Amino acid sequence: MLCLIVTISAVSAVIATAPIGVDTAKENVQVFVNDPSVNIQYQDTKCLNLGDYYTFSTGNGQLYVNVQTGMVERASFNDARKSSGEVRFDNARAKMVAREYAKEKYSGFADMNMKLIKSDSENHGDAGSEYSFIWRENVEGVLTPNTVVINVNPASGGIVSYIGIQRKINCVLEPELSEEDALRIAEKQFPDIRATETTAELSIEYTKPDLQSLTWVVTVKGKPEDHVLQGGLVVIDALTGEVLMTSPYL
Amino acid sequence: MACCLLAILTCSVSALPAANNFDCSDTTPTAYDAQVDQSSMGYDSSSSTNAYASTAYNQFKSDAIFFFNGHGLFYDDSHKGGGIKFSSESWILANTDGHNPGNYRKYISNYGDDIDDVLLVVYLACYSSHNNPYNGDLVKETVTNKHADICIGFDGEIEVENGKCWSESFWDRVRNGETVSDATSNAKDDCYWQWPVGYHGIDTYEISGSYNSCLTPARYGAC
Repeated sequence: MLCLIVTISAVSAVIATAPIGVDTAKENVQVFVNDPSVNIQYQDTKCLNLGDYYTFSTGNGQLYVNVQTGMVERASFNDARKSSGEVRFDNARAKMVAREYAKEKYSGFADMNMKLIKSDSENHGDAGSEYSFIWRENVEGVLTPNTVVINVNPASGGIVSYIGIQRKINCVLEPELSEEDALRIAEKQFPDIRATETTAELSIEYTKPDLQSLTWVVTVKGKPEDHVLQGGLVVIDALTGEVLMTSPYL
Repeated sequence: MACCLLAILTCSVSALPAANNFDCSDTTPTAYDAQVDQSSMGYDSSSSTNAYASTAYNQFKSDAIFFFNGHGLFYDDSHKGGGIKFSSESWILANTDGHNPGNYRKYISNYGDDIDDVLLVVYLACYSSHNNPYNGDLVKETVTNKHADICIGFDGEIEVENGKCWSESFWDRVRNGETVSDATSNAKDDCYWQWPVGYHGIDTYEISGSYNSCLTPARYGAC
């Protein structure tokens, strides 16, 4: 009986991880854009730590389909980026648009503990502005890779771009390294600076292909030296204390 | 007008439009990668690491594309923007009200019509589109006052790895025919889902000028 279960599980695993074909992915793009007149062209396959993606051009933008799940995890709509310079949607109305879009495109959005971590307008100069809304799932104080990003045109309310990542969490959520120790390790990466501001958040990151790691993502800001901002971003393995990345400010 | 005639004449003789790329911190190999993409678009492109401001400033005058990746300006009193830092404490600044960082300085405001045929300028640095009351606004000075066609800067803090990600993606996308505006925005999203997840300041980009232009065919900007 145990063998049978193991066999069934193994078969299920194979089925679950078998990549979809380009044609199936293209059909999923068609459903996502919901416009039969769109000319969808396969572009290439990209391999990221998050997973492998088929990318498609629609003439008016680009979509990324997860090779394993078939989900459209990213879309951009170039026409929606065009700006009249007017602001017809205030932040609250734009957020409502973004939230409805997230509910439509991201399965289970309303049922997950999605924390709104950004809700701002970004001014891109002559290229116009956009509202940017970012949600990340928070589980027991840990930010997971599950995220939704929706950028909205303030003049039209159109969706400029969408990112929606949904993964099962398969790493531990309890750090071995305390926040205090993480901050101390991070500041050591910039030994000559006078730190003025440090922040840390626990985050599950894909630091290698298909590998989830519980990390401390630490931001260190220091007083300027020679007219240059000091500090930067440090990513630390929250289980081992290993510094995975140090990225100074430019 | 004279520079346009000169540019056309230069093109007709032999030269491809010039592009110069500068890595001035731990930002390698972004300048070289940009050079490769620009060369495949038909530009006569070169790259260097830790150049002096005076070298870049002089080359700027003959460029179709100028790309800098390095440090931006931040004073002790928190005034920021208006400058990019080159080797040996040398700076290119938008202008000055008497505040002068470093040992050697060159000013965009001192150009005459020297850079009005530049097609694209990219200042990939902290606060490079931020207006500094001491040293001005690099993006505005470059496009509004000196009439380069397009300029990209960043209003917030950028860090090395995120800058590398954006640069690699941006130049790849413009090489594939995207407009400057689309490539800038899409490159921003390319960075979001790299680890650690987030924009980390790369979403603070500002574009001035003809943002819907493509970089192909290779050419100089309009005078």
